[in-house]
Amino acid sequence: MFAEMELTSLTSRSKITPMHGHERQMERIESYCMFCSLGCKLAIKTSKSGATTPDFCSDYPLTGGNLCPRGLYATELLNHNQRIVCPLVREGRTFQETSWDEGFHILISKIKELRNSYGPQSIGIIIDPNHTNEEIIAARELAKTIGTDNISCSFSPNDRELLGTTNITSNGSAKEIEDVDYYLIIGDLFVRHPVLAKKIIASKYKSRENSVVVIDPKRTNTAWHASIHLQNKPGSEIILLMGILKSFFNHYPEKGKDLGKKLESLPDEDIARATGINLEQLATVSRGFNNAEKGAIILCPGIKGVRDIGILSQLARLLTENYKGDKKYIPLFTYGNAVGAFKMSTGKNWLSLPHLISKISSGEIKLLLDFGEELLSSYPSPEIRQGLEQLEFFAVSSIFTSETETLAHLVLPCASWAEKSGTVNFFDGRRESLEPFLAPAGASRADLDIIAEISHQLGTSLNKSKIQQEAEAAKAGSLNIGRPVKGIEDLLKEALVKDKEFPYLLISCSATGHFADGSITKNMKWARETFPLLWVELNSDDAQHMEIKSGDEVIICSRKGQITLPVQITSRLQPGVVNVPSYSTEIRSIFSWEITPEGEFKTGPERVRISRKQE
Amino acid sequence: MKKVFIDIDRCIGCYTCSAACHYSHSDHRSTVGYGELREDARLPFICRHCDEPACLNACPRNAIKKLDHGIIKRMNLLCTGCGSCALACPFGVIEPDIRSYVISKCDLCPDRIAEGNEPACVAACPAGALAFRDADEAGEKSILLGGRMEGHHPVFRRT
Ligand code: SF4
Ligand code: SF4
Ligand code: SF4
Repeated sequence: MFAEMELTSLTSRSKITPMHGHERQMERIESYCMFCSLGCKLAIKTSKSGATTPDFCSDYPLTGGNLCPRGLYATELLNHNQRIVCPLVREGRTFQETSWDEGFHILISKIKELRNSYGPQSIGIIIDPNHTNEEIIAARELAKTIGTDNISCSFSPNDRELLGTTNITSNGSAKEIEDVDYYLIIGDLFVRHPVLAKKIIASKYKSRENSVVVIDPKRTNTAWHASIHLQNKPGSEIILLMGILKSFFNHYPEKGKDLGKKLESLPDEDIARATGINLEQLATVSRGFNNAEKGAIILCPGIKGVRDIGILSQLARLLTENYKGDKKYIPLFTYGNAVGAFKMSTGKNWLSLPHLISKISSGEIKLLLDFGEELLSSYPSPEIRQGLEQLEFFAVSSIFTSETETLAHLVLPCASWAEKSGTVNFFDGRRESLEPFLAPAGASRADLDIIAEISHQLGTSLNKSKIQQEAEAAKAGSLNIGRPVKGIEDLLKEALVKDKEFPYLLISCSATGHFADGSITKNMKWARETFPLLWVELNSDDAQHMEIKSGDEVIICSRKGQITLPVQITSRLQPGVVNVPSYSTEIRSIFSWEITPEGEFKTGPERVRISRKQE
Repeated sequence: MKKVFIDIDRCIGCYTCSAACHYSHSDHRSTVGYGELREDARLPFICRHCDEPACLNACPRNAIKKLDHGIIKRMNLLCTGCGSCALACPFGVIEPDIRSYVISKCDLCPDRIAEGNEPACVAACPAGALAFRDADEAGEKSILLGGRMEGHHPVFRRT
């Protein structure tokens, strides 16, 4: 799509030069990986010519210098020859390279023009949570300068629901992950946050009594290391936790109160049928978790699969509060600065992303300033595309071009996290300062500078020292979007309904080599070779039933769309469940990005049907 | 001589070793291959730096040399990319790199070792599954798994 628009971008840095033996004069700089909320420390050695080699920070206690593939991408991000390195302005169907002066001139005059004709609320701002705390505060100040209330921090739906129920200052810290006797893990932890694996595996092997319980519909690599794998039906995680709690309240009725009574009324057979797990097994887990001296529930659900994450995390917290001994609730997030961004953006003048998108679709917002969020790769729905198409002006700041940029009028090249400074907060609340490994590629600039320049040209200069102070002083906020545990009976009933038209449940998985929607990481050469973007995993019995062989193509059809994908046959899935990667835009478009009554994007598995592609 | 060992009871199949190798070498080419082992889990293959290296003997250009400490290294400039070593290696760890017309092979990160560090794959491994140690170090048993596509590892297991 973009190729035909003749986009050219040049990198200012020379191609990578040999590293072993030839580059003795290297500078070593340490910073933090922003490709998930663990915040692993890493070092890059750079030479004058711009060549980069990764190095490890073995004295950093949380990680011991270990990384996952995403952390290692810093090397390639810095030198990538597809980076946008100068502002691009749309001319008809193509883009022209332009100067910053010209880029700012176009943007500022559009902001002024539209503000005059439609009022300041016609301007919307989106910033993604991989920005530094300072940048997010600056974006808020820019909104003030413009006079608009339409600003949003684009948390991914799974992150946002988890964050809404989390009080980071009191829960979960890096130390609490170690030396735990009993882990309850929901989500593919070893793929989403690999660097925790060493501590968890070490705790497991420490004593024969220690257990790792993994709740996942797929036999993931995390599940492979589990002492007990509860292979539940997709989307039934809430009911599963209720089953565990029910068994607990049976033994300790005095703790149950209202919820205990409600749970008592749920028939055991229904819980077993909805989750696919028998009650005895749930009782074993309940007992084990209760008896363990130190226990932890780790929540790291992916974007599609686990549903109603807000309720799930409330239940997980109930578990940690009611069970005896030292029990921790540890949520982990997709975005590096999810926690910091959440603290900075919980004021009343921040909208949720779905809310802001609905204002784009309704035509209320005419000009969108988008810092880093690849809307069309993350949430590829016809509604969002149409909303973006009807914008009078759309400016994006980005490091690579993808679907979203094809709709933009102005593309501003920004620095990646490996090229900027500023403070961020990782999953345990710890604050670290990013150090730039190199200056931003080409003419690109950090978003903080871009925002400062826009403010300045609109007549109000940003007070950088005030912003810094605010970033320092920020206290944890709570949106309280976490939903109360109610409607249990309805949830259970819903889980028992069979859909004849769309009999299969589609879930998604991530890969160690991809970040979020894959719009950044699919540009990495190693990732492209190692993790194909388009495939579907099918249970072997289902495949046999449909006479499908590995490599055959099938059509996956949901209520939202359809896609043809090559099949991989696996024994890791239960019959009736299909799995696709979540780091591919094409595949994301068959999922529903409906907005729930709570104002969030829908999570949870998608109902689909599968048919063989006709030759 | 120190070699890279893998503990299959710890490996989480995350490909980090492969990425670390790729990004630590100038031609950005990983020498860590992956193969199916046990169920459908994937585990890395790493050069064993054999005492009697079949690859060295197979190379018609003498491009593979045995260096100090028994490191088996391929000399880039001598290599013509004929692929003989890839065929000869009984462990299938040399991947023919068609694009740049030379063969990739684990060099045990000589720069890192010279500075007293572990090879990149070992330093990066987030599961603590890789260890860089003397082959005959006591404590664990070295196990070699047989069969062409079933994982050819120097493995150690807790006893
Ligand atoms: S993606 Fe997460 S686990 Fe991987 S290196 Fe970065 S911070 Fe660490
Ligand atoms: S490439 Fe194969 S034959 Fe050569 S030293 Fe390594 S393991 Fe041995
Ligand atoms: S980095 Fe470690 S855990 Fe990951 S695949 Fe390699 S050996 Fe296994």
